[in-house]
Amino acid sequence: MSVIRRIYGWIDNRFDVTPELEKNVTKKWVPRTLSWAGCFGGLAFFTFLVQVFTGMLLLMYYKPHPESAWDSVTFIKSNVTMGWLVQRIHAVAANLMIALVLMHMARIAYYKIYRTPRELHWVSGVLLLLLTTMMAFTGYLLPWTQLSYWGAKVGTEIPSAIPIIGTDVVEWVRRGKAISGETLGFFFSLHIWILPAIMSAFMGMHFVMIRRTGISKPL
Amino acid sequence: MNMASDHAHDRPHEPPSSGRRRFCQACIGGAAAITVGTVVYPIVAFLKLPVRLGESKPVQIPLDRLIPGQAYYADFHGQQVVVVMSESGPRVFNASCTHLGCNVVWDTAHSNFHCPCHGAVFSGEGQVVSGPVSAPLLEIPFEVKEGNLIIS
Repeated sequence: MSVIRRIYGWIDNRFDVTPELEKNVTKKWVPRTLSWAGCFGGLAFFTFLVQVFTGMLLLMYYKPHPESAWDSVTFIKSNVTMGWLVQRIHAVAANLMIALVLMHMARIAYYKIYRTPRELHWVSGVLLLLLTTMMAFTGYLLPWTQLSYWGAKVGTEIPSAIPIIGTDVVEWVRRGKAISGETLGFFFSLHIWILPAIMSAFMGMHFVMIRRTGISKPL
Repeated sequence: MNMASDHAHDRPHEPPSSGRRRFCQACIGGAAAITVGTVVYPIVAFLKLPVRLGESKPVQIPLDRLIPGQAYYADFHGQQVVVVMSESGPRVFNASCTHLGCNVVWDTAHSNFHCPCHGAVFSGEGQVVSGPVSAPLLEIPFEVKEGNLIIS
């Protein structure tokens, strides 16, 4: 214990972290009237972090190629120690995240927390919901199973309802006329880099704004 | 908050080293250690080398596929081995160059091996011809069974 205290003291002497920690963590009180429902947003963020870490582990073995994607996922599930657990946690956390985001938004909508001065919190939140569903959709294709394949086919068909440019949009999203290895590569890059990077930016914005306006205090 | 601190004043302070306090600290510490352990253990286990099936199979090449002057590469225990058909019969070498371990490439036109890394040249018998090497290619024993060349 004293070792940790001495390391902390060494850092604190140089960077004066104690007042910042007290202001933001140890002496920042939660309003007494806030219920457990106020945790949904934070829990959604936690499931995001869980997926970032399990995703990093899965990436050690996953191969984004039509000939090896399914085999590599099967390899993770049956040959890698605890691979089944990591793969399951990644998939279950995705479902949980969607549920928590929706519960978070339902509470914000019900208590009208989106009103001034928190309009942009809601706007960034809606964008985060869209990004979350895109993460779920792109991730669903990666194991390259029958369900993934047809799920991606039906899902990418949706933009065809747009007048005039619909079919072009579908082709652009699929990187061709049909779901193929190109689609898999595109979804993979979206899933592991492009979408998480955009999401991180919006999350940062979401959190900084909450700190500036303060959370909405119930009566 | 106030309620909690009032409550604390109701009772006399117990010394920080009392048995009850230490018991509580041990319980909280133990629960924290178990929680951290259940997270860390699967991660460490995941990072272990996985069991790969069929890794140490012997190499088997039908003799009639070996053409004089040609070389055949095969994977043996994660090592590249090269089979060369010479006039006196097949010979098997470890393909890794004795300089720094790059895999040597068979040159059909000159009937010798050359190393892509630093230009070492070995003869078809594995002997050093030129380059920064002093040791010949490592020869690997094999047996011929029912028309098959087997390295095991």
